[in-house]
Amino acid sequence: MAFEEKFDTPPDPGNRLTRIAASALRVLLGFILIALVLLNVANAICRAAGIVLIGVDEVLVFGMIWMVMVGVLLVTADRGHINFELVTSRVTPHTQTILMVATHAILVFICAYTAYESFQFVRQITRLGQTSMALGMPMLIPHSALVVGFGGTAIIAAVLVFNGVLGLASGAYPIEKQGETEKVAS
Amino acid sequence: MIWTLTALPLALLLIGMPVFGVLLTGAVVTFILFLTVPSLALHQIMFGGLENYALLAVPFFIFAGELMGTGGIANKLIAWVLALIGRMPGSLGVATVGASTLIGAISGASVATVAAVGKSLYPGLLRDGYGQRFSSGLVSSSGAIDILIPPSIAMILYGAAGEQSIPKLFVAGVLPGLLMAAMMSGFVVLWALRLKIPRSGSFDLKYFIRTTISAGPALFMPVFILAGIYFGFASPTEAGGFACVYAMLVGRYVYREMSWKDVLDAAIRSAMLTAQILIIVATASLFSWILTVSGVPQMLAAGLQAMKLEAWNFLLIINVILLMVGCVLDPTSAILVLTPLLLPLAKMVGIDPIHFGIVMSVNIAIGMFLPPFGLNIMVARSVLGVPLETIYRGVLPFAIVQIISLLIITYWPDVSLILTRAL
Repeated sequence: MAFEEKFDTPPDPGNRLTRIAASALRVLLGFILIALVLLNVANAICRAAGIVLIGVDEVLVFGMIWMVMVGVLLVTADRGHINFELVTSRVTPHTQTILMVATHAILVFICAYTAYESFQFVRQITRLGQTSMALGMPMLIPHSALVVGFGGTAIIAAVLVFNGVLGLASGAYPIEKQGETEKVAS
Repeated sequence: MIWTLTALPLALLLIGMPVFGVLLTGAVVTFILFLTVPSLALHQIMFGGLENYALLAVPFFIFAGELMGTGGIANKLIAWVLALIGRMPGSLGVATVGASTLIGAISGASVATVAAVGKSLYPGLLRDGYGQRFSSGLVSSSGAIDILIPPSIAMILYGAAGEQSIPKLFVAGVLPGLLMAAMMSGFVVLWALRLKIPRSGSFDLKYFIRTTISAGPALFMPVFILAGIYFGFASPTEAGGFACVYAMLVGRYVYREMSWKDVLDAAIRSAMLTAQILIIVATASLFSWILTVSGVPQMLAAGLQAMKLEAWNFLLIINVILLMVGCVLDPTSAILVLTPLLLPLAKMVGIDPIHFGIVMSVNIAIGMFLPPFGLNIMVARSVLGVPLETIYRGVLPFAIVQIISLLIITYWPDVSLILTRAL
């Protein structure tokens, strides 16, 4: 369930577009993971056969970083991040919404600041023309993942805060339960 | 500075902020208020935390576990364990422990094991008369063995955070995992005898052979993964990739229980779960780095030296702390935040880092099914539809059994290290 569906409003074209974009991103993530698996296996087989595929390790690691950062956007939208629910599970929906608004408001600032610092770093390495060791890939490509991940998280968190404030004002709380993304650790 | 690294994160954790946000906020606020390091380091350290080839094993083993559940491999393994155990007292209960252990040798995720085993065996456990409380406790706690049986995501994260050999950790986890499984099985047998639970049908060789042939491709999977790692044919990351391809092919073409769309859905779920875990890895790298440059590990080490603790005292304190942490914090966060703090102290009092990794993993495994927030309990509640209070009471005897295992593993390092020396 994406963030826009949690708030009890009639569907609109904007919401539909967001839903389509979220679905497309999910499918993209799935394909990235399958591609990483196949590339990893191909690399191992080639190495065993004495063939060296240059730069595969770089592609795998950079691909994983992009997968994580895009995935973080969807997990944030689902409110599916791993958190500690001792207090939040024992309070009323009204208080839950207040806590959600407070924590996500902090996230907006912290992630926006982190994205800004990441952007400054990316600008510097782009100016220096830094490339990866094996493939000579511009390092702008992997490092930008953090700008996208934290910048996007700040924007999504801001939307969640906005929805939360609207919910508090109208009494229709947007968070009856956490997002549907399954939580896991080990 | 202390408050930005302790009180602030604790307060944010309590009000339900995502763990990655808690670590990032603590680190960023410390950076802005107290550190003179250029703030661009913030990006570099987080990127460096993720730019680690060994971490690729995390999505691969999660994906392998998902494919195993979707493609019918888990069900074949469960059927085989049931056929093997036959007429033993408490056979279905022991099969639950056995199936969790066997599935743990493929999947890196404990919660996936609880879901797979719970769905398949819980109705039978109730039918045999084990009762709701005992059965839900058994399913929740036996899934935790998965953390010790390689491949284990907890060990991959410990290896990455503590710069230890992941294959060595995997080898070291085998005997402790089997010890936990044996202790649980022993307890189940005693319980079944006490309750006079009727024995299931006697061992049928023909049925066993038929089940073994049918489960052959599934049984080959752990052999294939673990032999690949231990005999040096593949790194843990490569073994994870092979496990995914193997599970895809077996589920799709041998057992025919999975379409390509199912494969894609499993990949999407795995990628989302990976994002949840690895964003914590990135922010925990930053948080740990700030702790280190702030001299926190050195302060702790000095405090420990002043207390003149011996290894056994230290391990006892660590076990108590980790069990308490495990009750409330998820394993990923616990391992990533605590390893850089505790491992130097453990080395200082002369504890082998591999043994310490296993002790941490056992604690984390027990924490997975300890009330109030063990993840396995939450999964069991949703899969089995049992009230939380029933599961809370059900897991307690198993927690005692596993704490006994923990003490053996803690104070008898050879259980963890003997196989690593043989390598």
